[in-house]
Amino acid sequence: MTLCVAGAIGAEVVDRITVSVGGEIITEQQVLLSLRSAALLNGEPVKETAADKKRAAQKMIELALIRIEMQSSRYPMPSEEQVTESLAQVKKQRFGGNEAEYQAGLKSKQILEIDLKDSLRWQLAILSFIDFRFRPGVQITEDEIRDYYQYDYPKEFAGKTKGTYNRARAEILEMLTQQRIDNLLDRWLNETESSTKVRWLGNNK
Amino acid sequence: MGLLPCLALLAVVAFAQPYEGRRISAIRFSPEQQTIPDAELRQLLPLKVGETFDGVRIREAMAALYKTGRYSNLIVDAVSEGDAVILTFVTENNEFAGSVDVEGTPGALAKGGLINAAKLPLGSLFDASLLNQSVEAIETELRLEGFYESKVRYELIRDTTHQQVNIRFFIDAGNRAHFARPVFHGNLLLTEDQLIGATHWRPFGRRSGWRYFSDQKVQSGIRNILQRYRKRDLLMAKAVLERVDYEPTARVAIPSLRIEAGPTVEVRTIGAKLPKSELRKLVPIYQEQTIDKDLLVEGNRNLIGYLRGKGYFDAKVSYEVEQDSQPVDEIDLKKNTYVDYNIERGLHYKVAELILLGNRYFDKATLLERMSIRPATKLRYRHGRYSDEMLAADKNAIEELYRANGFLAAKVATKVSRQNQGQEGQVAVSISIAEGPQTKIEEVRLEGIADSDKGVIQGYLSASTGQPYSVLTINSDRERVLNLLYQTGFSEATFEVKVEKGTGPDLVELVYTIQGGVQHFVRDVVVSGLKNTNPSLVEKRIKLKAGDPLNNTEVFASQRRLYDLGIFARVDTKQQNPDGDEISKILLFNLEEASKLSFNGGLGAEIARIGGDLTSFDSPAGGAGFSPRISFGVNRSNFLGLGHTIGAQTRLSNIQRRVLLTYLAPQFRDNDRFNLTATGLFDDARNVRTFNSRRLEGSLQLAQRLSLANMMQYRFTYRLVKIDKNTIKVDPSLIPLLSQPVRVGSISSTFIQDRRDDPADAHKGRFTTADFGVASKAFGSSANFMRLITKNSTYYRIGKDIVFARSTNIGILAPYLSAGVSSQADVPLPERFFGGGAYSHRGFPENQAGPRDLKTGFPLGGKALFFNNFELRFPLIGDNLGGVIFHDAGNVYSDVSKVSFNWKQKGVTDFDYMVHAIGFGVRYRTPIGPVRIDLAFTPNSPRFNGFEGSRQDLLFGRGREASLRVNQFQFHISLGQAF
Repeated sequence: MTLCVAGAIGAEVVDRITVSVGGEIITEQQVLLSLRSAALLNGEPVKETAADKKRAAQKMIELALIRIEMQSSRYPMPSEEQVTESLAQVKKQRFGGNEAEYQAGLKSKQILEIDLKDSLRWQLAILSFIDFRFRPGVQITEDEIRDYYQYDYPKEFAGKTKGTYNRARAEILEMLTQQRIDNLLDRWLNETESSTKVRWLGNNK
Repeated sequence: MGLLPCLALLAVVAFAQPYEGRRISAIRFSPEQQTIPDAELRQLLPLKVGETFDGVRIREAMAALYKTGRYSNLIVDAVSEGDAVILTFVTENNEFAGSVDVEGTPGALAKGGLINAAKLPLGSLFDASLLNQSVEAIETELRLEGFYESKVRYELIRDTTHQQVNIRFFIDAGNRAHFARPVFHGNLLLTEDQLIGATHWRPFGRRSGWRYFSDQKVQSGIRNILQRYRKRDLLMAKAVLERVDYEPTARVAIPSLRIEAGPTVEVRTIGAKLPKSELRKLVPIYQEQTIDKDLLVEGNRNLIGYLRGKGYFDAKVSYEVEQDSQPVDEIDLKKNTYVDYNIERGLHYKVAELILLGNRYFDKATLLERMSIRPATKLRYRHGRYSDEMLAADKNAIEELYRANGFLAAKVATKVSRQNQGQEGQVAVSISIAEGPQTKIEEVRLEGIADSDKGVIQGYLSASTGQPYSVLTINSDRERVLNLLYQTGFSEATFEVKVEKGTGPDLVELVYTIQGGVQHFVRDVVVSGLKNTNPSLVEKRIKLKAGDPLNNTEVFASQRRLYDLGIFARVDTKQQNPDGDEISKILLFNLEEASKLSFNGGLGAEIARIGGDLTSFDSPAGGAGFSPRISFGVNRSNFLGLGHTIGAQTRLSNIQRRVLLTYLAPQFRDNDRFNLTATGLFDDARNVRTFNSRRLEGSLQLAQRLSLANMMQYRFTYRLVKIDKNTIKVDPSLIPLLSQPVRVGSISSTFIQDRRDDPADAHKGRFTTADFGVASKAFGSSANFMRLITKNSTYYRIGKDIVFARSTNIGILAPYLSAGVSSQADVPLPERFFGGGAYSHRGFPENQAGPRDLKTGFPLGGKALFFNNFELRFPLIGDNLGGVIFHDAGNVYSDVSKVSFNWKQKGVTDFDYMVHAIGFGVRYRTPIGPVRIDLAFTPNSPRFNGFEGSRQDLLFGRGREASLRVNQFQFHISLGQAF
């Protein structure tokens, strides 16, 4: 059933639900803003086609599932100092530390700084939570590191001098760990999504 | 999925809007009428009128509204009003499941089962798209009962005010299928007819018809087939239902079964004989229907445990497996197998002594209550009870008990000697307890609540400074505090306990952290499912009203009151939208009215000294007799939708014909402490051997429950009793007087106090009744008299298993305003006290105590009674068979002034003395109370004059007088304890 706007004549829709994930909602404005934030952080132009919106909403469903898990386990949010530091890095990496260029970027993408900081706060929280939640479940054996060093490492670092095993070991261990964390996260997301009621509403239904 | 691209999309921010920063002049809802009350909606919204427009806050407001669970969709729109902006939340409602009813349920199925199959829980989110699944589930249930042609449709009834949908399913069940000859595949070993016989699907063999089909019968048939194979030691036999084919033309269901009989497995015991049934319980290959080493080892262990439990504490068991006449290590499941358990029982022990040492805080009896090991006793535990497992469990139980009471370092050591005091086969179990210091509470701190509330909470706590630290006390505190909070609507309240070290050794501080959370209230109460019942009857029993704190205790009390009406088969109560974040909740009561008509029937028999010829005057004290009895009853509940019940009960035996009509109004005038009962009785009885009486009686009784244990009854009774003068067995000169029809109109009141732990078989407590009544000519009575009858019984536990019980029964009948008339004549014959028998004085047959006719020797009843009973109840063998020894004393006396405790009967015309009986009885415990056999010996049973001959003989001076005596030995068989 489509919800009809029954407000006053000349009323303008400010926001509407795009998708609900369990008891959480993702609104249309959030989807638009996520596209604009991504464009700002990646230094790309904003794409707002229906397909882009749908893709963005689908990614946001996964993030909502992680957020629900974080809230139910009462995982702490990062401090204000950590967020400010992260913003400083964005400014340095994306805008070469130029404040004027950064402000112009915000304006062109129609984003307020407070909103960007909020976005970064959630990024930090979710990254930290994923690590906390899945890293203990990852075990990499010495044989796996050695196999990677022997067969995959030369491909990854083609054209460069291959370092000794002992020097490369820590780097390979972290790389393999991140891959496993990603795999575990993917599996967890698939399981959780299938057991959570996800309803598409609004124009994306 | 890469993490960073995904995270880059995350933005919990608001879009820069043209309205950003403008003042909100109004917040509206569309539709204007919302289920959530306006004040609660405003409380939920983080956005207020007068604040500035902020995209983040709008999104938070949408999230808060969505989390209430009330809405399926939300849109926010805005319209300018000068410099300000008006916001409107446009909402689309969710719906919730209400009552689910099924009409047309065939008799073979329970309506509740079909409702459950629909899987539409009361109060849950309703999704119309899932209704087809519900229909399919109901059709599946019907097919499982053989209704293959059933059709189910549904109808939805919407209650938009409460966002509720009530669902009605209509069943057209069609004809039910019968079984037809099943199809068997595989290696059967048995004939098809043998297998069919095992299923019981064709109850009376080849020539009979087939039973109605049902899945339950299919499953029991398969179980029976397997049972048949197991009897032939084919314990790995498999029977699998492959499919059931329905043939619509013949309306039959044909099961196809795949059967593999498998090899034989025979289990034998060598060295000791064990009943086969016991062996099947102990060796798990029978339950698991396969054979492997692990199961055989487990069987070995179980056999050792079994033998040790029987007193063979040194028992040794080993096993050997044989296939193709050769011992094997690896079992081939395709071959016939023999399993031999070799048993060496060893000495037969007896637990001669159980010694408990070092226990100061708890006495021996308290510890024994928690233990399984028992020393040998003469009757109940002839070898005692002991096994290593029991000892380990008892050790654990004692340590747990000490720890729960603050002895955190308590240690229990056990020692078992197989040669107690040098005697072979005598076991002594010694349990040494090192109690250690007892930890005490130094302080109890309350956190998480306001100081003003601490005083209230303190009143509910048991833990206090100086008290021994005990987990039980903490659990009790948790339960009481949470109950208090739940009763006041804090349904999410939490209670956490931290135990911290105190300032001294063996001291602890308890920190109770109490979080109340949100207080919930009742928004509305919605009742559904009523068809014939007057709604006000239900509403008056639900004490919670809109605005009250959501008190679950009261919800359950309302549910109990509704069940207590006895007219509902099911009373479901739930919160609508249970997971929604709402402050006030809609409470749902869904009721299923019980079937209005219920029938009961029974067959029974009485075996006692109730016999004797009907016309002959021989054996006035009764002879051993047998009286078969049949009873039938019908009740119509919820009469006129008022919750009242009308009923008729009939009983027919060769000593009684009885019809009782009742009208019961429970919870009279909506007060659950009062019940009103009107009864009408027709009774044609020969339970007093002296006469046949026909009684017509009407009574009106109001029962009032004063407290859990105390009750009052107030009643008016009017009865007409006619004595058949052709049956009265007294001196002919008394017949005209004693055979007068009697009218009795009386008012009476009874007080009942029941503090017994178990009314069917009390072990402690007391039971008291006192009944006082006045029969007066003012009430239409033909005689004026008062009647008082009291009974007091008390029960005392001696040790764990023995009960001493006593009971005293006193009754007085006092005629008044009848001066000059002989007292015996003042109270009509049927109104007098008759006593003696299984429930009053076991030295007499039923109603044989007291004064007798001086000519015929038949009982005449009396105007006073006194009975006193002492009884010692003790266990005999095992847990179900017990014994009693008893002493009953007393009699029915001709008048209260004649009550005497004299042992000796002064002569054959003296009945005013105390008759004593001693005896022994056995009790077999059953779920409905103990079955009782009592044997009594009465050293001073009454002697009296009797008459040998018929009525004609008596009238014409024939026959002869006889000197008789009530038999000194009496027996009684009945149900329930004597008192």
